[in-house]
Amino acid sequence: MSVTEPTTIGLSEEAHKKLKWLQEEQHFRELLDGYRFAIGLALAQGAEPPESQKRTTIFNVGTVDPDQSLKRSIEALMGDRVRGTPVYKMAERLAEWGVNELASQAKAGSIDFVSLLDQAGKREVAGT
Amino acid sequence: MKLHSLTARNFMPYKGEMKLAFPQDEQRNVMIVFGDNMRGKTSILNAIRWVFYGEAVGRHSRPISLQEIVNKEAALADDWRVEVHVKFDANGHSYDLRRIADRKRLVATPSKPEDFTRSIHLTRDGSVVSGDQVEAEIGLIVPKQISRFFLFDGELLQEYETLLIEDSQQGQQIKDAIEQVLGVPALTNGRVDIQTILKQAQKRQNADLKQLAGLEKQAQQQAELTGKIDAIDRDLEDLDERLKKVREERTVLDDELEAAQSVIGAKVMLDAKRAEQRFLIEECEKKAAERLDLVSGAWKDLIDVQLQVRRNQLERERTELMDSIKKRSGLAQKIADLKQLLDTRECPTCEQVLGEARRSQVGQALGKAEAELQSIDDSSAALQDISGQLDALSKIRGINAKDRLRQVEKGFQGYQVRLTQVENEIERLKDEIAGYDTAEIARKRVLQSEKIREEGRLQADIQEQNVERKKLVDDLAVSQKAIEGLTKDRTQRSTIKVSLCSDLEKIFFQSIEQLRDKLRKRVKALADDAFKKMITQKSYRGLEINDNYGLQIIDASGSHVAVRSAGAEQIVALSLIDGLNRTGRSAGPIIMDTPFGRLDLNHRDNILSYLPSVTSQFVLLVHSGEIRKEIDLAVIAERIGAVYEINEISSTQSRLERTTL
Repeated sequence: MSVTEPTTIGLSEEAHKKLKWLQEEQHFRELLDGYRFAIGLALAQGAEPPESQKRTTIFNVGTVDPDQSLKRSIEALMGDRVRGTPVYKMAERLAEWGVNELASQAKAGSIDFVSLLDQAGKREVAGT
Repeated sequence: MKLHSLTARNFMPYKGEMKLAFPQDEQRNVMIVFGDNMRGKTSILNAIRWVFYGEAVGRHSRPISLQEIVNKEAALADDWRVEVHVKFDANGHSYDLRRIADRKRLVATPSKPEDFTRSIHLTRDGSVVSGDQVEAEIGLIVPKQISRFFLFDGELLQEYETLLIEDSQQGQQIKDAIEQVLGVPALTNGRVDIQTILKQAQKRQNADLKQLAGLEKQAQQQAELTGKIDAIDRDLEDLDERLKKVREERTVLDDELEAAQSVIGAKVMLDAKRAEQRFLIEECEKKAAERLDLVSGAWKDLIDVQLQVRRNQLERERTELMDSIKKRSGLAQKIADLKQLLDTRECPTCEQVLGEARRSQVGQALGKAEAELQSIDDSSAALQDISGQLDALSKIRGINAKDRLRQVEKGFQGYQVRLTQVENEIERLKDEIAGYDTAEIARKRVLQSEKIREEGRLQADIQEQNVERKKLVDDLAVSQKAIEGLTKDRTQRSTIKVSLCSDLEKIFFQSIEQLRDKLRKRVKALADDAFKKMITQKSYRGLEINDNYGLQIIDASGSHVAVRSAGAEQIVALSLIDGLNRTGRSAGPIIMDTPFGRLDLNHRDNILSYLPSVTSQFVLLVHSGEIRKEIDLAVIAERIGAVYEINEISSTQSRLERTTL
């Protein structure tokens, strides 16, 4: 049974505002960069975000994931949890979680990207 | 000359009475006054200068106005009377000199010297010297021109060091000042007087010549020459006046710019810091852009290790599937072989016919293999799927963002810290120059350069005019000689007068030149003697003097020492001053203000040992940075006859107190 993937992707209104704020604060050059990083962070932290609330379309899927590397990564790392469901729906939920996390870190001071990358490496090594 | 006491009242920082008793013992003729900067050391020098000459001088020898001489706190208490009293011996007489200035009766707050009444009183051996003779008497004892050699400060030393620079403009001015002193005022003033009389006589002679028929041409020629000389004299007077004015203006600019020197320095520093700030901001921006680039691809690094784990799992699964497929393939081959054996009933290798028992065994093996094959799934589809996943995941690789980001962050933080430091520095420097108009300072620097150039131009003009004047005077002399022959009987009186004055003027001129040469040689000998006593480098042969009073150090091989240290220059300048001082008068006191600025300990000790031996009294006004009273005075400890210390009462008031070492 084939799963129909959405053609657009986005965030809740609130998370969208946060993402724009992160861009304005020069944490990311483009909204797209912040969006992808948020998904990566959620995956790295092993987040299992709930269903998204009402979302706002921000990008075309083709823009966010032109070579489907995001989709493949989500499938590879989430396995059964995304089997039979649209992966980009999960991507949205992950992005929502990641944006909220990044925004709260930025509000608390600054986003320490090096530490985030460091933690991600350690967590996964520990989890192996 | 020997000083006995100095008493001052309300003089500069000394409110009320200040008294100094000078040492009288010839073997203990050193007096030391300790005082930190701004406490009133130079004011003691000025009190002596004021009582003798009625003037006090500040930086660059600029006069200090009378209203500024009165102690500020006394003036606030409406006490404007200032007085200095000195007792001294000279030429076998005892003198008592007192100079007083007080506010005029109808003046509320004096704002100019004219707002004061001034008086001077001198007694010689107890007898009053009449008012109009006082200045002349002082001129005989301590001529004002030589005061700079016995009342001198560090600034004068620096001034004299410029004499050592060949052809310097300031050196020329000092040379003129020295020659004025060495030429002896009696001779130079006499020459000026004779020149004036000569001019008048020449005019009279001209008038006489005009009365005589046949001599109109000579009269006219002489009138033209004297007219030209008069015109040049007027020009010279005008040029001198302009030069004086330009010098005064330049000196004011020098002072203002020197005061603003720290501001100029701060402005230069501020500009440099602002440039550094721009550079740092650019570097921070570059690092921030680099960071944004790295963050843009860093999402893959976040999951890189997890994906690697997944890739490893898939690799293991693929290996298992491949093993399973290989096993399945083996079983299928085995089943095919067994089936063929049962069908042909013959061994394919040895071609022997299989017995029933053997066939039964083969049938069992076939059944077992078929059962085993059925238990192994066909995994080729799964293998394809896993291979596809592995292929896709192998393309998702991190960009090593972490290490690169760490480097970028480190660089960024470094620049940020430096930027904060630089911005703090900028604020501090801005505060430092706040209130100063740096554009105005720049304008004054340009003006100062222009004034220096103008001084040079005026000096060249003066020199040119003097050459022209000399030529005209020579022409006039020739003309006069001719007239002398022609008019011997008819205009005898005026011609004789002109001839006499002309001869006298020549005699004065030659006398001055001869005396200067003689004195220059004496200055050289005395300076040479002083230099040898004070310089620590004993291999130097001595000093050589040039026409400009520039002194060269001669080394052991008889060559000029081209590069002199700052200390050596100071010793040379001090030797020159000592030479001039001892040439200009008999041994007297020397009062030195802050003289040891750049000297090492050995040179300082040499000076301390030498100068007391060639002076009647040696008074040192020093600060604690020059001489530490506990340890630096061992070399003259036995010669010290008096020690004073200036203590601060307030910013506008000091007190002089006698002390001991």
